[in-house]
Amino acid sequence: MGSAYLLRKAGGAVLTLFAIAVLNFFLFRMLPGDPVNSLLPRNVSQEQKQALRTRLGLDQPVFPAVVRSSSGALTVDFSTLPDSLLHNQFLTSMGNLLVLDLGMSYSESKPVLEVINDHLWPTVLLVGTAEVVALVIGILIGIRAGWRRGSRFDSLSINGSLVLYAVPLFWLGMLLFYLFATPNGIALLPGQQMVTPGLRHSDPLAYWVDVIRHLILPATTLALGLIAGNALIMRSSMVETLKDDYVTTARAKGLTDAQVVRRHAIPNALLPTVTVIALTFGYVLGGAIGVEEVFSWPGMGTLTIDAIHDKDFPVLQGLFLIIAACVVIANLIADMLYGYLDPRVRT
Amino acid sequence: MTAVSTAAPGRRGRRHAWYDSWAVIRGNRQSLLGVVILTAFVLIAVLGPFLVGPIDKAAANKPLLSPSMAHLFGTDRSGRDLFVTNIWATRISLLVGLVASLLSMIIGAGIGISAGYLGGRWDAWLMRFTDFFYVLPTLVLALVLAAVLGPSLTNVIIVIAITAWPATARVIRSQTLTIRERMFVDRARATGASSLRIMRRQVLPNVFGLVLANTTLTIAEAIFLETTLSFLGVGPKDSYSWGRILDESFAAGALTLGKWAWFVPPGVAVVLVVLAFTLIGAAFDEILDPRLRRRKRGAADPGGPDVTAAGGSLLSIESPSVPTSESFDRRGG
Repeated sequence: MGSAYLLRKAGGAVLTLFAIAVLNFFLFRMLPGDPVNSLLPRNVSQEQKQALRTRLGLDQPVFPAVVRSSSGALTVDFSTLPDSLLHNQFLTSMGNLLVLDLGMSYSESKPVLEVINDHLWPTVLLVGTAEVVALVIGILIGIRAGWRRGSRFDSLSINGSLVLYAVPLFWLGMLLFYLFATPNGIALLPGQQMVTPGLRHSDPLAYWVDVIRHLILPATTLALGLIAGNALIMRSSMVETLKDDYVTTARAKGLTDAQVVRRHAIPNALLPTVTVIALTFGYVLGGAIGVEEVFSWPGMGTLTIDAIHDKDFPVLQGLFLIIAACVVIANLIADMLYGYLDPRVRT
Repeated sequence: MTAVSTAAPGRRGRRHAWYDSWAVIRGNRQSLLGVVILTAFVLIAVLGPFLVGPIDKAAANKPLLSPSMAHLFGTDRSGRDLFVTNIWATRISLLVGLVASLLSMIIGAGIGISAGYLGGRWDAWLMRFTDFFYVLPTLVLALVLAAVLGPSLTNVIIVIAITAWPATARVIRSQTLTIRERMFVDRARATGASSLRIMRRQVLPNVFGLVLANTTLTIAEAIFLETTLSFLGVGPKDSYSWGRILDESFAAGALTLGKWAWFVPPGVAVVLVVLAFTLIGAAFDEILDPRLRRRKRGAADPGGPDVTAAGGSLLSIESPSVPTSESFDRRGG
């Protein structure tokens, strides 16, 4: 792959990451009022407040020559200037970011990174399972529908996908929960948490069986949403590919239909599909938030909602940063993959 | 200036276009279905609240009633009639969708037209700005913004508008790029019209169809986003939307209590409305791109429902540029 193409894409990603960090900083400084007030009970003394402010670095100017007045509004104060050029919250927080210090959580007295790390693996497990299932099933449906375009299977799968596409995933999760995890339907599977609470697992195998039983409903919900999109992408990619000249040539050579599809159409149609799917990573993480909330899955989605309710802004800030960074990196990988698979875009 | 204006499609041409559009919608069973569904919901949103009266805040009814003739969808935990609440929620959900997408259309079209018409450095910077917002995960950004701004109807509308515009800006920009090269724009430039005037008088009318088509998709996206935000607890607390009903039903344990009439109707409503907008959006694409119509006629698919246009437009793959995740982003949740 051309190194200029690679460098340009990587450089763009680094710039985007920096812009996200800056946006993240200002977004949370826009919050009205003094964060210390929402952190401490009402009856604490001014000294205690001041001590917390110093500890959190909130006594520093926000930006060179920009300070937060006692009323909580941001004001310009040039008298702080020579000093505030270097000692301000912006530079401090950017410096902390470089060493991956995201600050302390308000509600749990742990570093933000640790809190997020506790919730990372459940989300990876959920999203990973759903993505693999949806990839296989979605692509298979797409191939069949695109190949037999206009058939009953095709219109069925398109219409199904369009309907599924309009369903909010969290609501789909609620329906599945109602039908398969409560006695109102058939209580087949557990619908809450990742393991049965209070249960002591005798061996790792029993533990994993328990986790997988809990995983089925949320992963199915998320996968159903992804299948619709994947099938539609793969189908339209198949339809486009089957129109190409080399497919006609392959037919002219006397290959059977099945050979044409397997050897020529599918590999080429997979190409754009795989990249589009890599690009949808942000959507998958977004969809996982609602699904996790419905099934109280202890992942980053549930953590996001908890952080919002507890006004735990350092955690929220860290989550936004990490999720956005994941999406940017996924996009970069998609770009590179596409450049690798399709030499035409490498210039 | 009249000489310049006549170059743009005249009134007669426009009337013809309207007739043409209706013909496409009528000829396509799916988009017709979309129009029927949407009309029904708009009627409910506009007239419904007058027919069912206000949401009973005094909680005169018994809480958690099952559906009956008196309370079609039963009542919630404070005794509100859920049928009445859903009727009012229809109005709020549609309103949020409409206002938020109008706002996002204005931002998106403004930036898209400016970038496409001005070109050069303007284009580069504006598109860099757009792409930046485009990569950010929609729902996560919306959640964070909503948490920072606080829950109210206005804030939710603002949040949706801020997160939804980049897709529009990109589409409008590429359309503007082709219009910029057209003769009537050159002519306007030759008469000494300013860039701002040309963008308003020559470019805007010619991308307007596309803006409208995009709005249908944006409204669906906005309704989707509002529902999800409300369900996750950062939506408006001063009015009922479908998402808020779902949030309350979930929080009250309607799932384990077996109160299906509490959470099924609002969800079905979201699905129907979003589906209707998607189907209509597909028809719009056909209207704007007559090639799709021809291809469809040529396709050997007599009678059977064909949403090739829908599939193609939702997920168009533009080789050799990297395909976009637009269609996914649009859902946001």
